[in-house]
This record gives sequence, structure tokens and C-alpha cells, in this order.
Amino acid sequence: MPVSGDAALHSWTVLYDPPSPGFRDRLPVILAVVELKEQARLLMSSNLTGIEPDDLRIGLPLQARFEDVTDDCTLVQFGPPER
Amino acid sequence: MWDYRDKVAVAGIGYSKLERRSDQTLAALTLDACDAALADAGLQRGDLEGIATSPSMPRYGGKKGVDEGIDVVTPWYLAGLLGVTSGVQWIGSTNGMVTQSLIDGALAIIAGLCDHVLVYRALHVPDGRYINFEPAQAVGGDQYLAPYGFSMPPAWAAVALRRYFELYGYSRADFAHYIANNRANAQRSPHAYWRGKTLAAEDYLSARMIADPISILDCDIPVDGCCALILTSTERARHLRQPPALLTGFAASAYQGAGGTPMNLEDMWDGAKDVARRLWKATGLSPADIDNAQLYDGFSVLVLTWLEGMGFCRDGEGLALLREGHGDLGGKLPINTGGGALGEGRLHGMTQLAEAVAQVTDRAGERQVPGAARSLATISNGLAKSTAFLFSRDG
Repeated sequence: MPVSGDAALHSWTVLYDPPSPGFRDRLPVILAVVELKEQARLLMSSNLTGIEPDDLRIGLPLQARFEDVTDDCTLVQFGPPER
Repeated sequence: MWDYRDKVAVAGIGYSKLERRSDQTLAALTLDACDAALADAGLQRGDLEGIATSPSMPRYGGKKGVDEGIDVVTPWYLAGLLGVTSGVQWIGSTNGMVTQSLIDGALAIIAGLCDHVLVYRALHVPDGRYINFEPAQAVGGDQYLAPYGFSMPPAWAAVALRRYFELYGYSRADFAHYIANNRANAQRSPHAYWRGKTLAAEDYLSARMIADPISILDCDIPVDGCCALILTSTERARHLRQPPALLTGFAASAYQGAGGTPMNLEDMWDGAKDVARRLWKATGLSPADIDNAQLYDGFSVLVLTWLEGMGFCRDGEGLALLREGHGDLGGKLPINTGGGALGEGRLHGMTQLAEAVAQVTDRAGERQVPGAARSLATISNGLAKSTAFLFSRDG
């Protein structure tokens, strides 16, 4: 079933130490669990961009975006809706 | 109710030294623990007819060591070390946690296959960081986690604890009493890694963050060491050296949850409640019958999900109970009376089993809950591979 990319923040953590070498220049990184709009408990692990840790709360509206983290790797990430 | 309620007992407990990085091999530490458990029960190596464990190194991301006697001690290897290969009728090795081995061992005794079964867990701290995602590519389930930095269990636990805090208006300050008091319990346990190092509530609040709000003091410390238990029938146990701890019942979980994240708070509650339903059914007992609870604390947040999931209070109330001291020795429901894994070191649930046994046999020394008749032990996070055990005093 296709999903819209609309989601709400379920929970999060903030890492200040790199969990693996690729994160060394991306700190602090917000690790988030988001709930997709289409179904309760349809959860997805991701990162948040475009928002500060102090502004996070459960239920915060989010929208999927595609981030090119390297030349050959694109990840689905989430941030505040742009529309 | 379970037909074999109270028919199997734990007759001996043995520990090796628990050290951060031991000078001894894991093989030597394991023999120390097994010989200590046998001596405690008043048995000889030759009395063993069954040996069971989960022998894996639970390292995430990095290389899992597989060298016998150094990284792991499999039960076949241990049988050789103990010199009991010709007398052993049954070997159990599980991919689940070692607490599954306790169930397997009890069933081997009930089946008449073995008189005495050794259940042990040997753990070795690998070189380097315990958690460090080293592969350049993530495959399988890791591909949905590692690229986002969710490559370590503390981060999984962190989202559960964060959600708990946010839903009920708590903060780490509310957990400080429990964490400090738990360390005080560890001062009363002869085995605890943290014995000799007390902790104040302020130390908890200033502890180094691993994955906010999970600090280093919310994670059990990996240690080199082993804990072993001797199982036998209750009838035989009554003629051995120590009073028996009767296995009144157990429950095991196959609960998977919705996925998307390895430790979702709601799924851990649901899984724990599933375990609870089965345990109370198997034993014919209820939370009101429990005198002390040894709740798995590989991460601090699991104490909350077990306390609530097993039915001692409603969801969200557990941390307030701990904050008010109701889980202390002398409280309404003493919890992790020997300091749990947070105080003792990472033994994957053996801590909770051994302490439950010690309490119902009056062997917990200065941390004894007076007259404790029934102890609960819960292990893992409530999801698949989790287990719960109820031990009762004899007579």
C-alpha cells in the first residue's frame, strides 16, 4: 500500500557520539521513530532534519524527504512539513 | 495451572568473579562458577546429567567472537572441561536467552532424562567498543536501522524511555532515587561488580549520555564472568545441601510487536502483559502474592515496563512508585534486591534468577526480604525470547 510520507513524531533520542564512523561530521544527530499517518503503530526509524532537539514533542507533524547522504546513498528522512 | 508446579527446584547457585576484563579465560571463569554451584548444592561434577545454555556473544554491529573458551563456552565444550562427557544424557543450546535454558532444563528433569541439570551463562567482553557498527553495508533488518544511527540497543531503549517520560510528564530526576538505591542494594551483594562503589542521585543526573535519556548508568555494564544454577527435582533437592527454591511456574513470550523500531514502548508493555497473563495462569497466582520482584534491567526502562506489564500498577505509574521508594528493600515490593544487572553486571538474566532463588531460600544475607515466600523474575524486554519465572519457598 502506498503511503503519503505524512507522519507524526512517536519518540526520539539525540546522539552526541557517532554510533558508527559515518556519523562523525553529522553530530548531534536526532534519531526518531515516526508513526506514518496511514495506520496506528505503523512505525519507522529515521532521522529528523530541519528542527532542533529542544523543539521536539510527541505528535509533532512530520513529512518524509529524501536526503542524499553520500553520492550513492539516499535516505528517507523526516522534518517539519514544508507546505 | 501447570501440572508440574513446584516439582522442579533450583538447588545451587554459583558465581565466578565478575570483572570488566578478567586475566582469566572465560573457560576458567565458567569452571569456577559451575564448581561453585555444584559445591553449593553439595554435588560433584559426576552428578551432572544435563548442561544447558545460550552460548552466543551478544555483541551488536561488531565482530562476534566465536573462539571456544575465550569468547564463548558452549555446553559441549564445557562437558569436556568438566570431564563429564560420558555421564551427560542431554545438552541444551538455545538461540534465545539463557533463561530459555532454565525452561529446557526443568523439562528435561520432568521428562526423567536427567537428575541434575547445570544451567549457566558465560559472557566475555570483546576488545574495543562493545557496540560499534563496523560493516560498510547494512543488510537484513539492520538496513532499516543502522543508516540512521539506530545501530545500538541503548538508542532503542532511549526512544522507549523518552516516550515514557513524555507521555507521563516524568524526567530523569524521577528515576534518580531508584538508580541510586539499586546501587545501594548492590553493596549488599557479594557478587556485584559495583560493590564498593556507591552512587548518589546527583551522580545519575550528571552521568555521561549514551543516547539521551539513556545514560551510561541506565545500561548494565558488560563483564567477564559466569553464573551457574543447578536444577533438580524438588524431592531430590530436599536431600541436598541447601533449601530448594521451587519453580512454581514460568512463561515465555513469542510476542513480536508491530516492528519499525526494536523496542517500542507500547509493544514492550503488550509483550509483558502477554507474559503476565500466562505466568499467572500457569501458577494460579497474582501480583498480590509476590514478595519481591527481580525485573530485568539490562536497560533501566525495562524495570518500568515489567513492573507495569506484570500488573503491579497501571501503565505510567511505575516510575512514581519507584521514586517514592516502594521498590526499595523495606518497601511495598522490593525490586532487584541484589542490585540487578545494573549493579551486578551483564549476565543476561542470570542475575534475576539467582536473586529470586536466594530470596525464597533465605540466603540473601543483609539484603534478605524477611520471610520472602514468592519471588518473581522477568527477563529481556517483553518481546519474543522474554521469559518470567515464579519461585516459591519450600513448605
